[in-house]
Amino acid sequence: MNHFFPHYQTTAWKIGSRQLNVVIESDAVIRNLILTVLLLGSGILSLSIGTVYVSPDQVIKALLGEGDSMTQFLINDLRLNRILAGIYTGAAFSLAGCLMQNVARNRLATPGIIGIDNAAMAFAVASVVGIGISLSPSHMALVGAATATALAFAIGGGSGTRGYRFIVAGLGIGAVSGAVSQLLLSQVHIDVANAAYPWTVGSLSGRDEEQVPWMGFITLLAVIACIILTRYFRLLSFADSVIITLGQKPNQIRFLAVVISVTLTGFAVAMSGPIGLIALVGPEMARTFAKHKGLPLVSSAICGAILMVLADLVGRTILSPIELPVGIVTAVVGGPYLIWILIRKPKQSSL
Amino acid sequence: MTRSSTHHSSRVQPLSSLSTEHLKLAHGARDIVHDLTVHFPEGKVTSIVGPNGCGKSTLLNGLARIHKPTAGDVKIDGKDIHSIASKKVAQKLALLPQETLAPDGITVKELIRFGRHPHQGLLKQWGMNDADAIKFALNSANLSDLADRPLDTLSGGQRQRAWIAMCIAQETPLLLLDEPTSALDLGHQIEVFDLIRDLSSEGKSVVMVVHDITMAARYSDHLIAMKGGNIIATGSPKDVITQPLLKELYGIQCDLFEDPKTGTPILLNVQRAS
Repeated sequence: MNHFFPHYQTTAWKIGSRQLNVVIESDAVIRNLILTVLLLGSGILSLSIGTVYVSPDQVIKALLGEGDSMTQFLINDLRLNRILAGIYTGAAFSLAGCLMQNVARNRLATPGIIGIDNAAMAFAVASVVGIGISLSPSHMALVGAATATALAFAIGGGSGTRGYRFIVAGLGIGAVSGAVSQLLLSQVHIDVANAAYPWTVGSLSGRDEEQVPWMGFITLLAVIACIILTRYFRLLSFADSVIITLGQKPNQIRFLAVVISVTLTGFAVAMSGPIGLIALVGPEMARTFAKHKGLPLVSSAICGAILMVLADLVGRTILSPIELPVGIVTAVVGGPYLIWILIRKPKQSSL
Repeated sequence: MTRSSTHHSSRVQPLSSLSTEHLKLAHGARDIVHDLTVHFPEGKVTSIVGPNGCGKSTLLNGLARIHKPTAGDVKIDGKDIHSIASKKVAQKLALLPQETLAPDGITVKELIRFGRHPHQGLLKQWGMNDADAIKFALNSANLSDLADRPLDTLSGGQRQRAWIAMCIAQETPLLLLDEPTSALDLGHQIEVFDLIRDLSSEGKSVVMVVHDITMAARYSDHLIAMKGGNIIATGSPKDVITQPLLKELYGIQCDLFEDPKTGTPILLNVQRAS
């Protein structure tokens, strides 16, 4: 193997009588290690900057349970949860985006663009403003995400070769969902509308503390699932006839990818509201790091987490003491970045 | 072509038989292939010819289980392909499709590596055979020097050879090709047909859809002529290609000559039948 594919490593284990042969791409491992270090750096930076500045080494000490109790309280109890929420949701949005782009074979087809974020938001808002359903906003967000996906697939008639029908159907669903959210907000008392507002812009400040570990657990599960399933997800870049000839079922693979993508998006919107741009920019950044080779799912997750943490940091500090919702920061910073990436490489118009 | 003969003998697969029984294929409510029972000779090159819309590509997709039959069976070694695990079928039968969508930036050998997919699994992602099969495929398709080149930097003929190499790496006794030369210039067409002949002489059964009837005659052992979803003639190219048949298939009349070198029929003075 090494002779042919120098940047791949085959690792063989023996478990009982079974021989395990796993291919590990050393390029990807190194890339993801570097990105993880960057993510840790961003997280520590974000933990240290705030109304009270704490130096990075103090932050690390506090995280390790050392240093004075005041700093420990500030870092571990007040700030850490928000940063973790940012890491988890950022990774979730970005991984979901990379998966959906791969399914639709189109770089524009992220959950945000095809209306999943908006539908999740509409359902969450509906639950906040008191449509008579006993589900919590987070659960409603999940239901909304699933509904939008089902609709987009039904109207678009499957993902198609280039996913255009799917995207157009999704755009419509997104627009309708956005309108429904606005309509709901305009119909209720201002206090109720205020309570629902964080759901519509995307912010890490309105999160439910108890959900953070859950979000982390689900994101971690999805990343592990993607590491195992990359082998199959990669096939989606081929025509269906090729996938079938290679002995796999394209619809099953697509279904798996869509389920993971929608679950991640639903949970992430439930926590932070719609921050769709992460799903476009995160995978794009990962592909740039991966030199446009392969399907960088894990890198997409880490890049999304970095982007979210940094965007939240900017939002908290740039107009301090006023806090900009992270959704607005990603839109302002991510939008131009995305345009730059798209015009910089006009020939790579496919996925 | 530079090839090591040592690899040849070690990578030959046992013959497998491919046939259909009362096969019916439809697009929605429209029947494309009607009640077709046919056997494709083992170890030979069979070409399916016929006018546009005669159902030849649909038949090929049916054989490759991409198109599900509305009735009847496709059988490999006597077993219905839809009753065998998909991965097992993929170890018997490879297809060169017309759609050649590939991952961005993929190199020739990475593409060929995907041909090993049916032989691998979650717990066995790389085996001893894989490197040999990829090396053999690269040599067979004469691509060893281009192994590290991105697919999208190759010429049309080279790219087609890379896709065929992916099929070779799949190590199947049966190989289906859907218009393997349709977008190629004459030189590249010959290159691809020569490769297909080589694969057949190594023991693969080849079934392909070909538009150019002279090329089909020259490079096939066996012809199947289709019209309106039915087979109207089968046999050696010499026996199948007759003036009445060409008139029935394409509505043309022409003079038929024998190629002095290969003995296969050549069409001259082709014109619309009056």
